[in-house]
Amino acid sequence: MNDIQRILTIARYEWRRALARRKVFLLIVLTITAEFLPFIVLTQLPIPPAIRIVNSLMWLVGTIFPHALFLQFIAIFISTGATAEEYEQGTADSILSKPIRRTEYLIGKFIGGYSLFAFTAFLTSALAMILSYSTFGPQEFAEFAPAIYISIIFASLVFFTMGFMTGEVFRTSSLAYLVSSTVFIASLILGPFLLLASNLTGEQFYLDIVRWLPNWGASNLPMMVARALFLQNVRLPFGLGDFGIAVNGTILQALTSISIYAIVPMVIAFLRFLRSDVTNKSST
Amino acid sequence: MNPEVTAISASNLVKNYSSTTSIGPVSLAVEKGTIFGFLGPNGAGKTTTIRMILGLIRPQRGNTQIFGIDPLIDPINALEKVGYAPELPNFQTFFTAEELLDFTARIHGINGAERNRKVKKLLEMVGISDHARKKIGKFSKGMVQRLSVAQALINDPELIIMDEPTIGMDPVATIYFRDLFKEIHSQGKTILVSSHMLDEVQRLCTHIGMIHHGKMVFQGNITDILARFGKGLAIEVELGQITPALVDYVRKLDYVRNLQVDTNKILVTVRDGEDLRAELAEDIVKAGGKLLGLSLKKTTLEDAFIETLRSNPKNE
Repeated sequence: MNDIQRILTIARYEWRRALARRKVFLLIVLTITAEFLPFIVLTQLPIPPAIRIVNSLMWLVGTIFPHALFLQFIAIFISTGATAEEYEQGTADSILSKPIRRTEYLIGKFIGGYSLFAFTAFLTSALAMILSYSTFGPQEFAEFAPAIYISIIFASLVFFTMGFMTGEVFRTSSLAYLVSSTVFIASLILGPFLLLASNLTGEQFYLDIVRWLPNWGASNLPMMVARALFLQNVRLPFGLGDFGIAVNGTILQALTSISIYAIVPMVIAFLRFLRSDVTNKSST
Repeated sequence: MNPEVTAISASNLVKNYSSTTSIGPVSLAVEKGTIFGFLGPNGAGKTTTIRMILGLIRPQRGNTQIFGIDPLIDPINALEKVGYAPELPNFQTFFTAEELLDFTARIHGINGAERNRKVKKLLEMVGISDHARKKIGKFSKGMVQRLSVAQALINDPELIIMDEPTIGMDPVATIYFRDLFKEIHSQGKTILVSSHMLDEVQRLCTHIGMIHHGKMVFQGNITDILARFGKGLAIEVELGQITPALVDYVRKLDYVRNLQVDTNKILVTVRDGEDLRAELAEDIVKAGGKLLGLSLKKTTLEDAFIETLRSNPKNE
């Protein structure tokens, strides 16, 4: 058996393991259910003619809406348990006492968890497209949906790897989840405060800090990509073209931020895993 | 150590957990084709040592080799021919027994039809083929233990490491698995078994090693160990009446090493390697003793174990 086969065996196993966890499964179901929410609300509301143009971009709203919140939590949920739960349940021993390299195990875990997340994101994006066509008619710029989808799963690497790292470092899934989601929520809250501070003082410095918060690139990249690809040619009312982007920046800045926030935790997770003992519930 | 003859060689393994808890230095050599019983009281460091051997725990000092390969450096080749059944095994409860073995076989690189054949055969061998498609979460402790043994055998290993393999099994299953391990051994395989069941170890093992307070106290051929700790043969004598004069007379016989009195019995330890029941019976009758019965009591592993615990207190 070669390295790739062993990695794929662990990746398949990780899919099953993650989906066997009720909280992950329920959150995925909840996210997919929540996908219906904006469509139900918007079809019930009398939409003024001035913003009817939005009707033809509902696929984008439906794709980005779950990413802003639900998908980040799913990413954290899946990744915090990837290694931590194996220690908690004492199951890591039975795999790592087999002929498999630790790197293969960890890469398999990462690929398994991340591909499950990507599949969930794909389901929400596909559902958004189907619902948009069926409730709001023909959609514009739908050919860019794959690019938006890729930007979403790439942007989600920030909190996925953060969860992966905290899971391996703390080896307690609940603590890892708490820390990762606190970082996510704290940076969500901190952003507007720093923006306000910048507006009040006129200091650019506060905006620079916002751009280096973990969620800035992670939350804004899909909309920034949409703007670069097609939204700049669309006249949207009420500043909807800036939807969700409180502090502007370039795509390159977003990519850099995401890459740093993804690579550093991965390196920490690998170093920790490769240098530590495989902990177990029972050992004497 | 010569990998041609040595299955496991661990040298000077040290693991410190805190200023008060440490294992080692532990050195261990398990020769190919032996059944090595790894003994020690609770908390002595048996499981930690086994996990260091497998590369699950990194020792601060020392190194370990399986068939001449360090599992921390090359786990693929070191563990390829190893089967491991951990103490109180934990498996993913969403798996069925069949799925778990299939997953393990895949990691070992066993493909297609061969995998299916092995899974089926092993489930039958450990007696849980009727539960092949039942979720492990619904298994009893004994069934999980059987499944753990099956998992350890999926790759037809040359070395099988079992940490308390019969915990949770009923007596019938214990006897069945003892016979199974003997059969596996007869095929030239090496087995390392850690157990608290000393009579089981004595019946099964060809070699033993004992760890106490994180250090190896002894290891070697089981016969040599028993001879070393047994201090000769013991004869249990049942008497009609025990008098101080008779006890004093027996104690002074030239072949008697030790004597213990217990209500109507005396336990006489005699010179090494000689069955002196006839001489002792004759001397007791000569001294006026009323002899009711006499039997030879061989030194057991339990005697050696207890003797070791006595002679190695923690503060030593």
